[in-house]
Amino acid sequence: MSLDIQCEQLSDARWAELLPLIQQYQVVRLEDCGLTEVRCKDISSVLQANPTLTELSLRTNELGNAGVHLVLQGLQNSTCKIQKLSLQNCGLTEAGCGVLTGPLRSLTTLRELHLNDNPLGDAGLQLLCKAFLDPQCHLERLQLEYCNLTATSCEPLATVLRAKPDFKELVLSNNDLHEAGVHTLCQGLKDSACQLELLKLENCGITSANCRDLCDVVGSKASLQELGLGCNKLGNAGIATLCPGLLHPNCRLRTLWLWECDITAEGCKDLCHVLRTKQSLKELSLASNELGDEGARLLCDSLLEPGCQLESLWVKSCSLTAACCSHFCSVLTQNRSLLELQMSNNPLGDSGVQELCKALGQPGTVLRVLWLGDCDVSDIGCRSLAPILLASRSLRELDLSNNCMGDSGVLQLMESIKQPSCVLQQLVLYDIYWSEEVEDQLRALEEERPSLRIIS
Amino acid sequence: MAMCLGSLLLVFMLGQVVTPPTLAQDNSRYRHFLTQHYDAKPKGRNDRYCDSMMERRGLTSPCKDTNTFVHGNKGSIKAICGNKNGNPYRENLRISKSPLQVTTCKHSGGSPRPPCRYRATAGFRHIVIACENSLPVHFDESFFHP
Repeated sequence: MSLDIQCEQLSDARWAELLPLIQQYQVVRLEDCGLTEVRCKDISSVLQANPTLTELSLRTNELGNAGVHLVLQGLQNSTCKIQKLSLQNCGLTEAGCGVLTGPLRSLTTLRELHLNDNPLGDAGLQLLCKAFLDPQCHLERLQLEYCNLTATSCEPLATVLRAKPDFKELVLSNNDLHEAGVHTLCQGLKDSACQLELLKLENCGITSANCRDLCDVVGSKASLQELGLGCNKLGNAGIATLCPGLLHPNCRLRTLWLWECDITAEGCKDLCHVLRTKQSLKELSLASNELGDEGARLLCDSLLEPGCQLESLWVKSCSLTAACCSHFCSVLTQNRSLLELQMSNNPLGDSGVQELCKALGQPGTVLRVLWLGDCDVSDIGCRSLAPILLASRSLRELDLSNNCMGDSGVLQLMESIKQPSCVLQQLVLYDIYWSEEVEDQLRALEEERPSLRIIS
Repeated sequence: MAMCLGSLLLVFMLGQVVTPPTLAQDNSRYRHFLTQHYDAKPKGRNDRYCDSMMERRGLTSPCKDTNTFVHGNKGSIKAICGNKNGNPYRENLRISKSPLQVTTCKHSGGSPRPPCRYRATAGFRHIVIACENSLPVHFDESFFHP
């Protein structure tokens, strides 16, 4: 049984009602509930009396060092077999880390720990690593995003990786590790026998020089399924260095994050080899890279190859125009794997959308999710989209947020989606202005078709 | 006589309770506007502020791309709908006469899937909105790009 409360201030009366549940349930998530150190005493007591708890999240509550300590002591003295614990954004600082090593060491069943958004600093993490190195500690998944870590933290982390062959997941995004730190980390990964499944190093200051090491890691860890390198200045050179590792037969990567990596059409050429041949690759993000229409064309050509089994492609903010839409049309008509395409924030315009619609309406298309937010779509574009929403048997979700259509365009779309034969399940229309009359009609439509979610 | 007056009083009171449909609907759009775009006293207008506000206000399923929160007195926003603090802008919008304290949250990440991370831009600038029946119902996010 699970207790799941988010973004809700809990009165004293409500808290009294919840305590017996916290004492009984297997999964307890009380996130952004205004909990503080005061309530941690209660939490600590009921945790000690809960024999079945396996997952606890207190994300985004100002527990502070003392509060976190109380919670961990509660878990330490409990008979429960806690597996997953989130103390993300709980106000844990460097000063609070020392007293946690004891309790952490004793939680021998703990497999997953989230400490994101706590200013641990290098000194704080160093203290925690003592617990992670303990023979009793069998932690497999560790998240440390936005923890004020620098290159200094990479050696202790590398030591943990070398010592723990069961490690499966490491998230260090948004820490200033920089080239030296990432190098140290990669050394640890290469030396380690761990079967890493997920590695996220987004916005860590990775450089193209680090790609040599990353290439080795990717080519040797056959277990790696998800790699996050977004928001790092890899550049085309870095991508060129990385790709041989991605192409290695050992590499069975499923999800690759390369958003905002300073990649242009040139870098696409190398990635296309991977796309064409890596059947394991299912999800690729190249958002916020200046790919241009040429880069898009190269990607589309690869998506036409039978070896490409990509299911989700995110190319938001890639400087794509109407010119590349005919290439996407070929993909939409011929490709039978691609289920999700995000093209938001590209100046496709009505003509680009009209082009895409030629393919979207075809009977054989399989695309389920389409993002066209902020694509300069006006009432004219809606005129092309409306019949598609009726004709398509596959399209389930459409995003048209932040476009310049008005009442006329929205009404045309509504004409289609109100038909019972329309299979659309979600229509996202954030940041579009329509009049009261249209608002009334939308509300009526929502009531007529409860299976359709209209988000605005 | 007393009974008749009593009945009249009851009818009078019932009359007061029935709200004209248009007014009720206007209020709900205005309330929606406030939920999405108003935070009187923000606690720290940084990235973390955006991460939690966007979640609290129900804008993270999927991750809304751009969203601005206006701070201070909500009367100043309402006043844009009239001449006190607003001028016409383009065909059917209004622009504030005075700048307002705002925080714009821009999505940062590889996909629109939650968990959603945002980059905050705190500012003091003019805003563009749409009004219906003198109440703000729409915020123009395209007016300013952080």
